[in-house]
Amino acid sequence: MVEQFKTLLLLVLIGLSLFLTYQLWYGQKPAELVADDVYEQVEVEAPRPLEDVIVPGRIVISCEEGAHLYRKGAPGYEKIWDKLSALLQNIDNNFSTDSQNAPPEEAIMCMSANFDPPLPTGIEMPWLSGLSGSGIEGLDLYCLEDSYWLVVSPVDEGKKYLPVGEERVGKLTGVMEELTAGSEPAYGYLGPESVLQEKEEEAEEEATEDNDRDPGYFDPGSVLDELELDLDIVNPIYVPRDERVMKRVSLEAENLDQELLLKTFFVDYNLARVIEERDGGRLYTDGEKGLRLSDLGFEYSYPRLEEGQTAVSYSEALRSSSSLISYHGGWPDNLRLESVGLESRGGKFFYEAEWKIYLNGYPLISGQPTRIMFNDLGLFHFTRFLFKPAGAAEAAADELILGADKEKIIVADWSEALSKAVEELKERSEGFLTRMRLEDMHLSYAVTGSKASPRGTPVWVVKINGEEIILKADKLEVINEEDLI
Amino acid sequence: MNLGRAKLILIIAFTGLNFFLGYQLFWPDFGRLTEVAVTAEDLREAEQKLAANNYSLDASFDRSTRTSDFITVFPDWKIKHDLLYKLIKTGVQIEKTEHITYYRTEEMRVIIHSSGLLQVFFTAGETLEEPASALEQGELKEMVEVFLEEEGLLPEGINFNYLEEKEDGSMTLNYYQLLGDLPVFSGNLKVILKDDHIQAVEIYWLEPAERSPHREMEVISPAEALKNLVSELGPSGEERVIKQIELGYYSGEYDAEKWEIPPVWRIVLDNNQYYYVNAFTGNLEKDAVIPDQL
Repeated sequence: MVEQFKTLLLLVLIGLSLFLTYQLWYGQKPAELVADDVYEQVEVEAPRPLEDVIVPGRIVISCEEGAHLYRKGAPGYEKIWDKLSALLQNIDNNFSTDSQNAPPEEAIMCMSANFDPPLPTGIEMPWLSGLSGSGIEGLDLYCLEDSYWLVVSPVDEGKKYLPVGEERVGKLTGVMEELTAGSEPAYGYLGPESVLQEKEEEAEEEATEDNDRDPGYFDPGSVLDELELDLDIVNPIYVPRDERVMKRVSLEAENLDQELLLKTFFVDYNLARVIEERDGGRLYTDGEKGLRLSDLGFEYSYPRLEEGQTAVSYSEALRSSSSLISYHGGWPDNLRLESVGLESRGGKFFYEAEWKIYLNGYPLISGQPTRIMFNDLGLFHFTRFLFKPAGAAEAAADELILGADKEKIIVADWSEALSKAVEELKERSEGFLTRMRLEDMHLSYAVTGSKASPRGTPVWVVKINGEEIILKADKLEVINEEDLI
Repeated sequence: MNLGRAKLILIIAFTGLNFFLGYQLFWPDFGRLTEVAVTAEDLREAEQKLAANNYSLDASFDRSTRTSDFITVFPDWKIKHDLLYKLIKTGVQIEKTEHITYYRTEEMRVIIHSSGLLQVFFTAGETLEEPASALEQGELKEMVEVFLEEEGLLPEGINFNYLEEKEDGSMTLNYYQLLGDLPVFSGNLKVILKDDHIQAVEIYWLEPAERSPHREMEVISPAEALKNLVSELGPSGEERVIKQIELGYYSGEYDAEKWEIPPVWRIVLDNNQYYYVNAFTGNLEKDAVIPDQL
């Protein structure tokens, strides 16, 4: 009897040991451990300093024959901005509104840079720390032999002037000469007329001296008369002088680390549930905030935070926007901050910032923006859809410049594009068209094709009365916003 | 050495081994085996908060520490397919829009939403054998379930929830879904009766795709869920009694391929108002946060 009991007990103990060994080997972790694991540290891209957050929308080097134009991603842009930024970081802050400091009439504007969003200035800012205010929208360099003047356009204020010595601007003018040496200016100034008149007067004076008319500047009046267009040019616009060739580009969406994104948007992403959508997208939500990931980018919203307000300054908003895009996906090459502004909806104030990728100096327009909305409570909306040339970055950049012949297109003349845009606008407005104001006109790439194989199509973008008209650069066919990827 | 002594040595060795394995397996979670999620103090605190906001608790709940996970589901199409097969055989008019398909016969109108919701409207209504008002709730329920089975509209895992009577004399029998023994409150079935006729049946049923045991986590206590609910709702104008608090699964309806449902504490008030508190986050479950709905 005792032996039988021992046998039975031994068998039970052997069985229990096998079960416990199995549990130890293959069993589930205790629940708390699973929950704790999610509070791991995540490594994200460090936010960029202000010096790298704000860059000019356009830098123009002017000469008698026309203008050299540099945008983000174009060869030479970074070089000239480096020197200009360094100059502004080290400049004396004795700007004044006194016309005695203004450049003389015979000085010519040899370089100009526009800042949209404005370049922050003042105490604790990298540039022009003595120039308080809301920043500057534009900066011009006037040259006359060995003398130079900087003219800044502060936001909501009149122009301010500062004569500078050659030793200060030497590096900048050196780069300007290096970049423009031996190359014909590719752009001409279209307007507005007020600026044009000054330039025409300058040109006429020189033409009188040289008995020759400066070919670098357009006469918008005559061109617009020829086109029978009655419009006002309200912002400085530069258009190509000669025939221009661009290339269609194969694109791909940027490669985002989706797991990292989950970790950056959800403190405890284990609590987020997944919804697999029919189009292949994946939506993550914890009931309060939602993140939709697709093959092309992501969209995030946190509606409860919309109830917040904001009281931070413009420069703080710039820093926050830099942090937010760095944390959630990073800052790819040739990305430019296009706008940062205080907006309001339903009495709630918030900041909205938007970025664009530039390809060889041309902005890339996609169907969905890369845009954030945030207030003092935090980020409450973020859409990020960024593209890059397909294949290896360097090879793609070469392709963009050299390209296959079949991908090359000849860009239609600006005047034809403008006429077509006006025609389109008249059609859209069905006769209810007020006086036309041409706000912008430039070449870009539009993301078209399919989601599986997006393509960068060269386009003319014409902005009249706040409305943007996108035309294929060669055939001038209208591309509707809903056709953009 | 005899066999008896050998057995004794092995018993001692295996007992020691089992202690060692048990220690490795459960430490430091020994306490969990006897731990309670809701202490008497927690309960008292919750009741005080409820009382301060004009709520009272008339429900018992499991006080032990509970764990749960997500379940992945997709809309169940079986009932719809069977019904459509029957309709098509007898002849049916079909009309389609982007998200809804309408099927019409002389007897019924069927609407199928792309989200998986099925609505069946009986043209003349289906007569019950006895007047509904004369029946006990149990009898009515049984009669309705027999009818649903006959019509091929009785899904698996059906669980009666409550009967709703309206001022216009109509009644709605509400059911929810059970997946195994787990209540899935998102899956629901409604039978609408008026004038002793079954007027319509509405079914939103889910099919389980997978469980996520690797994401098993401890859920918040029912006392915490109650406190969170009251914080979210604020003080009640009139006194409300909490009749039931139960752990299950719930999420809004999605027009999607498949999705995960979190565990929730379902809190039932005396006026048949239902609230679902996410048992992981403690947030009140509302409509899903879909980014492009901004």
